[in-house]
Amino acid sequence: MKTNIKSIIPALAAVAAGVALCTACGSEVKITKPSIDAQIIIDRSRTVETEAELRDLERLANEYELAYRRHINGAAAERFKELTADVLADAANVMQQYQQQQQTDQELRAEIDDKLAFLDRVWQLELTTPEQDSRKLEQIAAEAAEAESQLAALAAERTRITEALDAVGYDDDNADELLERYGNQMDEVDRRYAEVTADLEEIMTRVSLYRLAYKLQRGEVFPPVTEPEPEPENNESETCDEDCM
Amino acid sequence: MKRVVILLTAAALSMACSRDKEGIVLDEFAVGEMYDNAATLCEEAICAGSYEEFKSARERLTEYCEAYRTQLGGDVYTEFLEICNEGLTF
Repeated sequence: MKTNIKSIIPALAAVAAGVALCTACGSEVKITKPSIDAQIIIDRSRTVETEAELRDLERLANEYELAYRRHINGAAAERFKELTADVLADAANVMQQYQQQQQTDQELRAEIDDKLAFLDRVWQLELTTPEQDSRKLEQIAAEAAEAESQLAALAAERTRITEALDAVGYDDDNADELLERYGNQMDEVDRRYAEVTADLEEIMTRVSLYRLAYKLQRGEVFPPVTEPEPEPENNESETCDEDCM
Repeated sequence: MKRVVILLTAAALSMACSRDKEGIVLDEFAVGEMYDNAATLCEEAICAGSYEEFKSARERLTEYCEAYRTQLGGDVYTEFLEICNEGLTF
């Protein structure tokens, strides 16, 4: 039994040494030649699509460079860096372009979806008679006028607060208090302005909905265009002439 | 007999469903026909004669968008979206 334990000890020591070596090495990469290792980076750079992938690749290239510095020399590290610098820069550009294109695509797709959703609303709008719908449109126009007057009032209020803010002198005893008060008032006015603007946009959307709904659902123009009655032909002069004759 | 009928019905349903899931498969002319495809799809959506027609046109347009995104992607997809976006003017 004793013999058996003694025979195991060297093997255990070898395993422990191996583990210790691996731990000491950490995630350090295995280097061969700068041109060969650079090819690994070049190959991987072709598949970079996300920022995380780019950062991983840059980290790997950095690990190679450090390994060359530690185990070979600075010249080999510089050679490796030189071989991979352009590729990493290109990968960053490609990734940026890819992300930009994805964003553009998302925006375009969202616009298309919004337009289709709007058309869906148009088709679902229940129309009655042109007269009744005209009355609804009049109500909407009144709401729009109300919103516009609110916006004008808020703009005037904004001007008043700006003037009051400008009038506050830094040597005033209660300058801080005044600035805070006017700042809060301005925030409130801005908030209301944004709310009313959104309401007005919704009102204008309703107007467009009615117009388009008449066009698509009934093939008619809305609100109905009332053509001016043709003026009766004035034959007086002719009559007169005839009479005169 | 009853079991056979049930099995056949289930198989037919499953085939029908799997066919629906296939969606649009673009052919080799899809890039060249991109302008025409987009214009036609938009026209179908805008000039639909009824709500049902519009819904069907909307679905087709969405399916084509997905097909161009998944099967071609890149600049072709972006261009397809741009044409559709311009085409959906009312």
